[in-house]
Amino acid sequence: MSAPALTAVAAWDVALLDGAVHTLEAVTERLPPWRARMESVARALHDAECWSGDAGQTAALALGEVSGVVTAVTRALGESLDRLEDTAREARTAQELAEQALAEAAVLGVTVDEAGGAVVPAPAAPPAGATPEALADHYDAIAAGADAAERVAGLAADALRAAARAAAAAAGSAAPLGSVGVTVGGPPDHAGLEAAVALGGVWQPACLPVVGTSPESVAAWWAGLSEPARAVVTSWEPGLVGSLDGLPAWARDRANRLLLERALADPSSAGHGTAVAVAAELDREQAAGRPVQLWSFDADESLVAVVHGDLDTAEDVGVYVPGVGNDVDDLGDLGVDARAVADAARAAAPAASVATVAWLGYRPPGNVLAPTAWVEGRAAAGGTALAGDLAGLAAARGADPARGAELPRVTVVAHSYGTVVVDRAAEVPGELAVDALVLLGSPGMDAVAAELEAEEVHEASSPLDPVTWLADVHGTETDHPDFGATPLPVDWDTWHTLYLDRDRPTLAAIGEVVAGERGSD
Amino acid sequence: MSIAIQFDVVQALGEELAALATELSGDADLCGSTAVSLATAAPGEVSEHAGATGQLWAVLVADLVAGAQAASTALLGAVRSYRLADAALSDRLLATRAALPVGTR
Repeated sequence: MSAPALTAVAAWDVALLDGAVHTLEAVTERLPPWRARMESVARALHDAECWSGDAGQTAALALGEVSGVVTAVTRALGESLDRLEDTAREARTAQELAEQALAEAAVLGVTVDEAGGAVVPAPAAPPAGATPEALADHYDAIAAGADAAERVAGLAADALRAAARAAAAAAGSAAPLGSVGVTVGGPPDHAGLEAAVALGGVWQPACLPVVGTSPESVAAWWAGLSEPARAVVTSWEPGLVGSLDGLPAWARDRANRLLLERALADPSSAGHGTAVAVAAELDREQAAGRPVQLWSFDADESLVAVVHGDLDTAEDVGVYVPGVGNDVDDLGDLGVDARAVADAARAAAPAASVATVAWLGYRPPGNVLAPTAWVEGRAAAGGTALAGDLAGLAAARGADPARGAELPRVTVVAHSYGTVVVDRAAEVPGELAVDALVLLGSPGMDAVAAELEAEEVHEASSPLDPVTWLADVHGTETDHPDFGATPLPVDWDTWHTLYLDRDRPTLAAIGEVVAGERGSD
Repeated sequence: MSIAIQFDVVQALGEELAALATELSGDADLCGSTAVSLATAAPGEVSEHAGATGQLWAVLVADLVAGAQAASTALLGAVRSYRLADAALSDRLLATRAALPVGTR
């Protein structure tokens, strides 16, 4: 095809072109949330709670293939859109320059042809016997005409070069669609698409995140995978998927349950006892009809985090970090505490959706007399893990297109040595992804409230809780005015262990904090 | 092997897929009309290629609609089949029972 004429380029309707490209951009922006909703349906079928048997699994598989196609098509359309945006940008440049060249040619009396060539009318010969001044004016006019022609020709050439770039970008705009088997003149039907996607292997995970990948990058990587690809990664690398900060809780839960099954199947493994305790807690909750997610699970290290509720959808999240003397055998009691916090939050805001986490992402010292209770090694490891989990939660929720990337309100409720874990978590580089902290029965903290990277810091110290005043092992007492926390109500006889007692005022206040219904000083 | 199905849940999932297909079909139509704009905004090579790409977008999005619609149809059809099979089995049991002599029922 021949190059476009300058007047034709000047007449391009670039507003129409821009509008069309923006429309396609809007379509691509609607696809990810659409895909997320479709994948929710696929997951519901896959989990076999509503439809078990061959037909149900076949249906889930078929939906997974649809997901693979949607993922590949979304990616291809995104790349095609980039080239259409290049097209629109170059077309606008070409049109503006062409219009300017024609306008200046008219003003300057320059003739410009469709190929961008510019000429000025030949000047009349100077009159015979012209004075030297008249001759100088004559040749100045010739020079000015040449300058004008050169300027117009330059504008026209720039316009036509931009038009050529626009044409090249437009010509390449269909190429990315080839990755899903689409070529001009031969678009496939849906079955053809599925075949192309499967044959092309475009749903296969190209690479896995490495240690140190940011939660935001992990979330973006996960969002780019189709459901079949996610299933493959989960079954091949459950240890990775189950612990990756930035993945949605449902994905970590699915991977961690695989790990749990494997640990249960091997009574000789070091983590078998942990697995038995975790399985008992999950069974207990599920038998009672209460949803739970296995957010973290490391059998060998006895590290576990159980979500009571749905961490992917809850508006208010409470993460309960226990202190000295707790291990996986206490998961039942920790679950009771976590649910008590959730119930209190719902009492404060009945319409709120709440999830709470019984977080044993570190190994608390065995008892207050253990040397590990007096130093901060366990807390340092726990602080790193807690900061990572909170950042991962924020990244996963922030990348969830199905819910508009809305972040939940997150409150960490820490008890005793757990407050030291929070202290160390705040020291991890980057802002702690938490809205509020509740510090219960703290043995003291190095940082003061203003340094803990949370908008709100609340604390409760019972007068008869010796941990809060007997010895400032870990820093400033949290009820000291210099610390700067907002006090929560406590009964005088709350001691060290009854802050989450359902019959005492502290729990109700904690519920208000979790639900965002309680002010802060 | 056991088979269990919660009719109402699967029915709801099928209806959700149908709703998703309907939503996206609007975007398929939008891509089709946008392709016309692309094909006319900058006559020449630009519009020729961009318009063709726009048409491919419309086809691709329509294919996604077809995929979601097919999945929806499969789920809703399965629920209907299970319900019909259950009703037929119920009828046969009733008929068998009715055929028994009085006193043996």
